[in-house]
Amino acid sequence: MSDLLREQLSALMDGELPHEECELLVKRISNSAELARSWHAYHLISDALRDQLAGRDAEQLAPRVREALTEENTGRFHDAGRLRRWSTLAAGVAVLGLAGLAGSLITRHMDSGKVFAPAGANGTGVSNPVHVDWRSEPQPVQAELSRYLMMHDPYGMTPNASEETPRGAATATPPNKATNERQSKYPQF
Amino acid sequence: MKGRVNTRSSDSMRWGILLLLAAVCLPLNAFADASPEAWFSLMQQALKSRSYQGNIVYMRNGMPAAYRLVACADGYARMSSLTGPAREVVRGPHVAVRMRAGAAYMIVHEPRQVGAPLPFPPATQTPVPQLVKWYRFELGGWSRVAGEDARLVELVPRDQWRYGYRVWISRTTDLPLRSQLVGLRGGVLEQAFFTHVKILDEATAHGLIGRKAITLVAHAASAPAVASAKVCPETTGSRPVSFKELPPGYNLLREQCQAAPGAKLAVTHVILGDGLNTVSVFVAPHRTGGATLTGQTSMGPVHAMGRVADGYAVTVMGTVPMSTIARIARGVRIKTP
Repeated sequence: MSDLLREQLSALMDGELPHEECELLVKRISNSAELARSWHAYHLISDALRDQLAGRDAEQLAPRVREALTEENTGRFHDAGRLRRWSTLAAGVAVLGLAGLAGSLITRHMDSGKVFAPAGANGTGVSNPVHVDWRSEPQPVQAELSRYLMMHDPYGMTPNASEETPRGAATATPPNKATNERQSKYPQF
Repeated sequence: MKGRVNTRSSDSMRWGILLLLAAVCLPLNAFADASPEAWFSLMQQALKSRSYQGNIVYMRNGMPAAYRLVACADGYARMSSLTGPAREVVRGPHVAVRMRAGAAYMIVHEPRQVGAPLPFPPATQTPVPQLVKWYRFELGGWSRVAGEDARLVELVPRDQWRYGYRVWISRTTDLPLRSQLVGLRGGVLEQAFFTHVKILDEATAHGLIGRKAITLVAHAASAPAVASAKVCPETTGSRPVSFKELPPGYNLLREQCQAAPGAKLAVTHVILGDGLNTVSVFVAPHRTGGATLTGQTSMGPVHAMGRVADGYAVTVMGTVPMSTIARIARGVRIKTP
């Protein structure tokens, strides 16, 4: 894998890749096992951070990130310099995680919406229909549509407006015993 | 002369035996090569019978998201988001629990067993003979997805009331490795693909799903089922609905009284489908100044239309063309007592 591709993957993760390059890169990821593995490796890092967010011992985060990277290094990452760079980055983020900031940083990066801008229907990339986006609807209507979307597609995991609600804010509503709704903290497995 | 005939006869027998042996040794899906319907059936069978884990990259609304999926042949599965807000779906036979960090979780009772909770819809268990009424199956070429050879099967809609799909099915495992939702003009509206897939035995899959997660789902399954539409009017004021005219192929699958996380009132939720796509119709008492969608709107490939009928707010939503949503919305009739 060329340095340029690595840079592009890294930029994609950071939400800094121009949208015209995003479509091309995603197509390449879907056609290249090596790129797909690299993409997977980058997500291992955010996965490790997600575990940290779930309340694991903060001190275990950095070793877990290092472990994930070492695992990827066996036959996957051959660029030691790049590995060191990611290790340094991971360690840095781990420190941020200890301060309770890593979660919000990653969340902002991944959900900023900057990563992919709407694209035209060209038959190859992912295109958005021309109808009015419901995020331009009034806030109460957006919230209701988001709730309906969850009911319509319970297995779908697309982030939507209601899922961007700050933690704890959505727990204010009392449980409705007549329905299938339950209130709880996020279960820890 | 007689000897020559005998030689030819034994040669024919030898070739016959060799061909028979070759046929027995070939993978099952090699026979299906000429039939995209057979490929699709094998995929459905694999989704029911295989235990596996994999990471999925999913793109919708112009945003990528990554998930980890562990699925067990006995019907249990767990899908976790690797990016963005923490979200998980844990599924057992006939029930699923959807969770979000720091928020309410939602229990969904499934009266019919469906495929693993893949985030792309070709994972349906609707029999192929039913699907071919509304989709033409076409066989495409070979690709490499998640390091495996995969065969493209296209489901081309026979009319303008539904979107089409492309699904790449693994040569070795028959699992769907990649999927695209295709719009009426041929553009890709959303797509998902595995970055890697690993076949597991059931015990390993159970271990990865986690005993607590399985216990949670078992507990959810024993919880009271969703209130039926008949009791909905007594508790919420909602009423069942009927439809004047549905688009071809769409039938009523389920009608239930349901509330979304964070909502104070339950609504009547009617689910329609053509075997592959589903459309939801939500009916709730209309409140002046309340949150009611009027007109058409979209989020990525998901379309919605709302209107007020007989004092009730009707919202129709689905990953189908807007014309389908509009036709269903216009045909909704509120049943009066």
